[in-house]
Amino acid sequence: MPRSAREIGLVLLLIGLGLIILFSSLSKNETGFFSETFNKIVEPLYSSTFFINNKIKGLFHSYLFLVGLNKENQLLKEENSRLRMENATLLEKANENERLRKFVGLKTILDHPSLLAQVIGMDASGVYRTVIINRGLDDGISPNMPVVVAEGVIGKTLVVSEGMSQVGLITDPSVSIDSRIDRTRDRGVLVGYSSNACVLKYLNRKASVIKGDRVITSGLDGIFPKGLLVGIVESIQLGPQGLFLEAIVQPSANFYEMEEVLVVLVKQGGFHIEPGLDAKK
Amino acid sequence: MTQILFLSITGLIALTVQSSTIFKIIPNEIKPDLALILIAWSTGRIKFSIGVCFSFCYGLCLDMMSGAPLGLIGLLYLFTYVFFGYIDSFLEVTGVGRIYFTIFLACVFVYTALHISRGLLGEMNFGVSQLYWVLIKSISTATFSWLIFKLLDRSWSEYSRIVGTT
Repeated sequence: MPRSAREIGLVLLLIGLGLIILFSSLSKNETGFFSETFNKIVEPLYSSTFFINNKIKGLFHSYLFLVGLNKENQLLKEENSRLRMENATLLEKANENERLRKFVGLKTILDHPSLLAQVIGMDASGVYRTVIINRGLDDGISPNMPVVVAEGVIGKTLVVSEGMSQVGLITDPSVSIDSRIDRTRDRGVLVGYSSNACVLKYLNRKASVIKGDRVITSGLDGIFPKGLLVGIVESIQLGPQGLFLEAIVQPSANFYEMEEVLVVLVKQGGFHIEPGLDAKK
Repeated sequence: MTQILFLSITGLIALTVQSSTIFKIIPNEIKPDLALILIAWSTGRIKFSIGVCFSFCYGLCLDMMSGAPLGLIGLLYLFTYVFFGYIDSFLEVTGVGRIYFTIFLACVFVYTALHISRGLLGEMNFGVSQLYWVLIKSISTATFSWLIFKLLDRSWSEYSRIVGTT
């Protein structure tokens, strides 16, 4: 509890500073000096937790599992342990290869250049559905670039700093994608709905959408390339005013399992905006 | 200086644990808000001017790591710290029940404000599902708070013994 005038003054000063920072940051996605410095401090921490995470998972999936299977070979325990450790490493590498092979396949499908990135962190507050990847401005990433995995669209880059970027997942209400129903070609806008579902809004009332229909990107929002799988329709309902249909969509990508993602290096609108172009317009 | 160092170390650990992918299978609403518990703990134990600046700066760090508009969580944590200070000044927050209750209230305040701000920015509507989310998060945070208070008390006493408090 502030007791002296100095303490009250400090609180008021911080409130004023906070309001200035808040209102100046509302309209832009760029990182400033403070963000850059902070990101430089936390990046090694993220990388180390990512490393520990992989080690724990590798041991859990391989080593501990194999311990249960080889109980009868007590006499060969020491030798087995060494082999299991080797096996654990190889299994982890095999899994990684399998995942990366999918990305190679995906890269050949995409017309645009793309960059592989690792997921190193998640939203710290829990309110915003975002993840942090280990690629940033230095790697050619800028805000509003599509992020995909082999199973489908993950989201888009939001705030980008030198060595890391924040990716808004498609389940976050602030991320929207112009999408189509693959079978009927009906268009709608897909927005985040809950932690594991999206809602496809503004579908034509006469659209014959059914459960199980594939939802793909339309390519008309200037961010996501055309034809990428987003999810599968789970249910259909009439919108709040009864003018449009709404479909609840289950994202095809598993956000809990993803470790590597592919950032499609395409600028918003599909072309590079030259300096001064806005003024000419 | 030693207080700043202690808060910075514990703050960085809490932030890393909270945003690490190790616990990604645990739903967000169940994960306790370690940052909020740390701020509540620092009230009354750390010098006011240090605590209030730490809360604000820590909130700014969370803003950068979460996608929130820069300054929003900073301000919310600042208000939370002052709120805790106010409660602590006439109702000493040491008993288990009091800790649970104040942490629960603070968590409801912070997360309701975050959801409402998203609503004001046109990103989402604050409805019944968001209210459930806030309540579950607040209960989870309050439940873990006493344990983390004990852990922080222990760490603080060990740290003070080795480094000193001034």
